[in-house]
Amino acid sequence: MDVLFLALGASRMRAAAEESAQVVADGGRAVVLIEQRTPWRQTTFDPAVEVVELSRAEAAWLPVRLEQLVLYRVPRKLFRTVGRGPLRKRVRRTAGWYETRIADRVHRRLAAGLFRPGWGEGAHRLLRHAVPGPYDLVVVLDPISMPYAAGLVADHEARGVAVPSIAFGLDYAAPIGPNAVEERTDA
Amino acid sequence: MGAAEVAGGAGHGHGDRDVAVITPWYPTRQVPFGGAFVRAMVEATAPVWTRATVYHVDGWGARVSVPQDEAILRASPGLVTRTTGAATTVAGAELRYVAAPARVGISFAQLARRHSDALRTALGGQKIGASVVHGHVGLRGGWTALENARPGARVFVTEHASFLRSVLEQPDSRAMYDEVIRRATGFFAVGESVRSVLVETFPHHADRITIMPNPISFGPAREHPVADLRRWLYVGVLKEPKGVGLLLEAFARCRAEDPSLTLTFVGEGALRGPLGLRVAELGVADAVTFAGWAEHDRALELMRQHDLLVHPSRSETFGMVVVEAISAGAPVLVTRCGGPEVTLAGIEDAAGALMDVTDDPGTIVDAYRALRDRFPSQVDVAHARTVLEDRYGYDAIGQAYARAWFPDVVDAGSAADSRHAASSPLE
Repeated sequence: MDVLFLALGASRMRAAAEESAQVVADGGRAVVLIEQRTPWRQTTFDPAVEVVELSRAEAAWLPVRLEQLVLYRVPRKLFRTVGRGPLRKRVRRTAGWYETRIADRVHRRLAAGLFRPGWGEGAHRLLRHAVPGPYDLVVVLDPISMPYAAGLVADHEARGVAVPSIAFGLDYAAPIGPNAVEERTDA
Repeated sequence: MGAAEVAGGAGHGHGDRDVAVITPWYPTRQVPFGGAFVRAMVEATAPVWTRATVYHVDGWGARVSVPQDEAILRASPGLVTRTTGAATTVAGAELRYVAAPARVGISFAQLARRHSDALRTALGGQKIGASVVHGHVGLRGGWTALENARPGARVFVTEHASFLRSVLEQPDSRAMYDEVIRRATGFFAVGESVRSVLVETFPHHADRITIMPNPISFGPAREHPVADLRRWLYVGVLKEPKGVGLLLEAFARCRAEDPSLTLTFVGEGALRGPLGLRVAELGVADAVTFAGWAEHDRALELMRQHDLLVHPSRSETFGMVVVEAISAGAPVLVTRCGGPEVTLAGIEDAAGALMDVTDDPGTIVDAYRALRDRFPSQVDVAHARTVLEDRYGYDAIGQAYARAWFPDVVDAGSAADSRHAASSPLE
């Protein structure tokens, strides 16, 4: 069974670690999607569990890399080239003004809105890139992951693809597939 | 409510001894200790019901902005309706888990409405079919039970919360609480410390609020009685209100006198890191074990493997772990923090020792020395165990629930012996 755990809120870490370990122990594939590593430093995942950082995946995504290239890297190079000798101070000030007044604003208002519009719900294209499926089950582990999960469901429905089962914990998931006959007991 | 449809297979078809339990706390992988008393209640009442469903409506708190909270609330219902899976829990009861998202900072009343809404969504807008609905905790369980019970169902509520005063300080929560007590068929407090707070706030409900203690499982007795008090044990959350920092300081002082002493912390919490650092500073790393969370059965096993439960909490409404330790044959060193002095009334010396709540680790040290000096000759854990089983064992509490839930069905003679559970009229 392929299971995607959405743990972007990092508020139920023990459940994420235990349940993903359970999936791999049962012979399945477990992918845990987190926002970034920092809050998870004290959490140990089973080595067979794939832990994916959404922020890293986002940074490595081609549209984001292009945006970074156009908005930041190319202008910086230009400013460095031009800003030599007596122009150095003035160009440095102009470069700072450009990044805070132009590049950052464009990134926040336009680019970030395109890649993660609607904070969660609209991030399905990014999720499709970060944690490509298909999955039998998506386990939603915290409230911040809820809009992302809803976006995934809507994306599946819009594309006419079978929607994976949704659960708020591995122990409460409906049995899936011909081998999923083992009834979960307790929590 | 009108002609409400009912969920759960129409409870009328189960000899009308169909019970639904609604609780914000129940053991999970995230919090294995959470709501162990609710699970014990389900198990203790198994002879009473023919069918039981536990609705664990778990509050998922998050520090989010208002727009993020709105996005979560938009997403939640569609997900809740897709999570149809259910599990079984103790005694064959059905367990349904419902996540209720909550923004940190909203009032307890607002939180209760979110729990109620989440359960309603999970039920597909139908009412719970059971003839008896029992909510744990006044608002998140009680309000949710009242709002989702079918017309004619008998709704009961048990309050356990140690943070009850904080709830009642909020005007909207206090008003909702008043309504819960008024509408409920029966309202219980788990101990006198909880009941007194409620009666103080709602004197007009004084005769409606009665005591219903938590049931405790008294398994097989310990094979060999404790010989000396060397292996200390703490079981619970590692946080400041539990007094775990004081416990560590006291242990280090006692160990300086007796290097054979050891201490095991069972549980996790915010103080896990600081306690680990302090253990090293005190030079007791070789004597202190952090066992992490343990499943309930494992915790009981650890109690049987240790010589003394030390529970220096600042506040407890009941002190379930104290009774469980005695059921496992371990004497206890526990603070008079609200619940334990009532729970152990009349058997304090037999069970171990009580001590005052102070900020001084010396209190624990002195209490330990005094207990050690009179152990084992003046301590009788076996006697304490017998008394507590009569008070809080599954039979006693199960019968009390039976009297409350199904007064017409239960044989009055079999229920007449329980002196401690639900000792006042309920309705």
